[in-house]
Amino acid sequence: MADNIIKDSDRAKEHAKHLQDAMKTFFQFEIGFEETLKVSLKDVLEDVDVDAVFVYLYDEPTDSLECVQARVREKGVVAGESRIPITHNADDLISLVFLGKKDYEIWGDGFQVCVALRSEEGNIGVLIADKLTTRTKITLEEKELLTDYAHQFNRGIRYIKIFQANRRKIEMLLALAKISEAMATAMELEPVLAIILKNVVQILGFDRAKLYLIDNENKLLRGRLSADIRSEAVRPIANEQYPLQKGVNRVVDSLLEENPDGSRAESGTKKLLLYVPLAGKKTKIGMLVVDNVFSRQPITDEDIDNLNILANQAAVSIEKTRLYEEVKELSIRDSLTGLYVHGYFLDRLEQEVEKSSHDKGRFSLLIVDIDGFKKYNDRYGHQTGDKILKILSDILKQNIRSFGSKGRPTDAIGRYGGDEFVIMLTSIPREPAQVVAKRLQDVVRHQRVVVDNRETTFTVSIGIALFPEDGADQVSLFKKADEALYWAKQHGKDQICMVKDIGKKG
Amino acid sequence: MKNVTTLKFWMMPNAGYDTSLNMGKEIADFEKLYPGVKVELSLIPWSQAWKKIMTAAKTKQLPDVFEIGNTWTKTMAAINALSDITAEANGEHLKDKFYASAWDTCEIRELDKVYSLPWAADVRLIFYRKDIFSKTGLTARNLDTWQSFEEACSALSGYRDNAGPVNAVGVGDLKDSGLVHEVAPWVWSAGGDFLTADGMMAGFQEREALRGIKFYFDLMHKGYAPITGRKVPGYPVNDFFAANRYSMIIISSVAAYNIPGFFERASRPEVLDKFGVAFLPAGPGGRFSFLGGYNLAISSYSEHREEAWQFIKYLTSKEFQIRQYKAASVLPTGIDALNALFHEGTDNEKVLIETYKNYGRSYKQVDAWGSIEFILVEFFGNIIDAIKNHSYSGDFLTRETNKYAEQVNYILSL
Repeated sequence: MADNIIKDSDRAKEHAKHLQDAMKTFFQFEIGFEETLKVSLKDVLEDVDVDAVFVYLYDEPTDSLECVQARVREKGVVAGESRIPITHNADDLISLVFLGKKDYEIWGDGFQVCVALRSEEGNIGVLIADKLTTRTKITLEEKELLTDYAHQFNRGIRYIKIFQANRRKIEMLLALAKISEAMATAMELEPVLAIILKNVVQILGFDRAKLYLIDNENKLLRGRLSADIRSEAVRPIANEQYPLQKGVNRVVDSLLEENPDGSRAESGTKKLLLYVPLAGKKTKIGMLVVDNVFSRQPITDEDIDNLNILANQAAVSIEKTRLYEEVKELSIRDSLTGLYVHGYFLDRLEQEVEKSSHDKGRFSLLIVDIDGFKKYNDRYGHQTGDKILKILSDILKQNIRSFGSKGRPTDAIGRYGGDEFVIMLTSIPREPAQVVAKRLQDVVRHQRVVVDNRETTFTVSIGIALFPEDGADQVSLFKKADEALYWAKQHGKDQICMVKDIGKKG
Repeated sequence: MKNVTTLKFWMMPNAGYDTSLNMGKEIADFEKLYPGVKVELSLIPWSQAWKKIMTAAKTKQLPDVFEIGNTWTKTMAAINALSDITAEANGEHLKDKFYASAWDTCEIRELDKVYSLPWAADVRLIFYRKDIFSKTGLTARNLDTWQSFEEACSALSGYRDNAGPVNAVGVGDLKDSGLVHEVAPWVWSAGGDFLTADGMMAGFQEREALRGIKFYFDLMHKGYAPITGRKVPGYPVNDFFAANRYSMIIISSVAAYNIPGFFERASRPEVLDKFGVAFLPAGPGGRFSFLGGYNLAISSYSEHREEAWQFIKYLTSKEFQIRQYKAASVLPTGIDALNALFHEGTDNEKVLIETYKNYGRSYKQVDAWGSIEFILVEFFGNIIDAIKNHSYSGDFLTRETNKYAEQVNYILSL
């Protein structure tokens, strides 16, 4: 402390008070690092008779000292634009002080002084003051007073850094806990993926994120969703599909790489891009790709740690929801044909009625019945009957399949019971229902079935009802389609009948 | 007691050390006009501005109003930092009040939305020594085309004064964004661009652009322009002026601030007598200059949008821009302000204004421009290093160009 060279005790008291005030500022963590320095430099100028004071902190990426706060007596706060490169030259006085070779240096005809800022972890910067306006020499007392402030700043800067780092960690842990909770409660895959991506950009602060999952059946890496910091919504990226082989796509290459770290920053993009594999219990299940290409903020080790924690939780949640969806899928599928069971089909129909009523959309409902099915059962036994049911269901699956924006089928096929099948076609009017029905009939008619080493064929009748013309709810629509089917059966079988044509044919 | 709204305002020191004094008075005047509003000014060094604004945007701690480089609008909007001010700007027909090239840097064209207002502009120009040109038998006309420019460089390269040889031309070689701004006019003048017309791919590996890049760096390679290797940001205008070590220099018009009264008639006749201003030479693709400058934006998180709007309108008004030019030689973006200042321009001023009106151009707007600029700085920096260590060649340039074009393509593909 400079007391030993301050002769006047009142002056010493005044100095101590200013020092104390400057230090108090550092405990106002919430006002932020630069604000605290701004206030503290005001204390320096009130206490020490210098014209200007500057705080430079070391900036590792540029290996230079960066002016983070500057105050000039007549002007107040000014922007210290300059950056001072660190050199090892014997005549570079500021570098000598920063590098710890000297505690302070006075130069420029004695008008300028530089004091080291040094914490327990090492050199953090320098405090520079000058008397260039008044053009008087810096005194020993002034140098000592400034050294006192440098000590206070060292401590203050350290406290703030610790506080900020801890606060970031706490915020991140709370955020990760929240994300975990949200993922744990979501039972379906799409919402889980959306939670992961939204939080990657909103909580972890990346510019953009994309999530890909491995499709083992087709040996593809499929894009699922993307998110960016600008919009609240996530978007499907179903158009991004890459074969799981090396040399086709960088994401796949990274996924196929043996990478014990679990994540890596893409070279060439200056730590702006990161691939994080999603590791399931046994194998990798997908890839999370994040970037800071817009904001150009380098991805830090801390970011990578947080992302790895999130990716691990995400992988567990994705596997869990996939399992749940598999079980759910089993419960809604008919075991013989693989088509939707009666109850689930009715749920889908109800949803479609609701959606189409709201959107003023249209769709059609087809009921397909095998002509004379009973005779196959009676003549060849139930196993043959089952074989025909399986053949028909395969024909339906192969011929009716349209996909919505998320890559999911929007049409639905169900086994209504016995030899009756139901189809909900949402793709009309692009392809009219009767055209689809006609195509189905043709395929069925030409399908050979081998029974007891002999080939035979079968036919189907189809009733068609349109929403909303033939029925505004699922019950009336079903009833009408059934009536149309009945009419087709009554008029020669191997027929198609639309509700509007009941009574006209024959 | 009446409620007071405090507007936080971040700005960079556009015109040197005295910005805060000048702005402090302006803020006081604004506060008198709007008694319920207080403006809290923070000065941010340019070197820290991008990082600081981006960090604040990510943590939603942006000030109400802040200054941005005029090439930053698209990227800042992409990370949701900027408020959409289309309705306000259209409501007051502001587009018609500014030069189109400056207004272009405020809009996102494909969205037809406005995200900032043009505050100040600068263009690249040639400042040349009339006395040296005269002794060498040259005039500004010798700088009109690439070919005549190179011939002039050749003629000037033998010039010596009492202190020794004088460099033919001074160009920017500092490895920061400014280097890309220096190279850009040559790429455009060659008929090329940094990106393809749709902004989806790199374009600087194409023949025309490469020709422009080569022409610029050949000025260093052929010894016409020395590589200064300066570490501290800034332009050597003062060196140029004081030490007479260059016959001409290609430099931002903002640097005119460093030569007091350069663009003001009669204030420093000895300066006007000594220096002339010339257009950048026209290449096979035409004549271009890089249009730089600063815009003002409102944070998308501001809770005081109305007051913030009044404030940025005040700072971009004709009266303010005239005062700012007079205080700090910062070129206005408003048509009225520019007309009022230069209606009877000197020859130097005419070159400045014509460059601004007819030849000023900025970069193609893409979200990832910030990162692309970063890659280009590294690319051009490598060329400078290669020239310095004598490993620069046509093969080197092709190899490096392809390498960096691939990086840019990758960035754009994300």
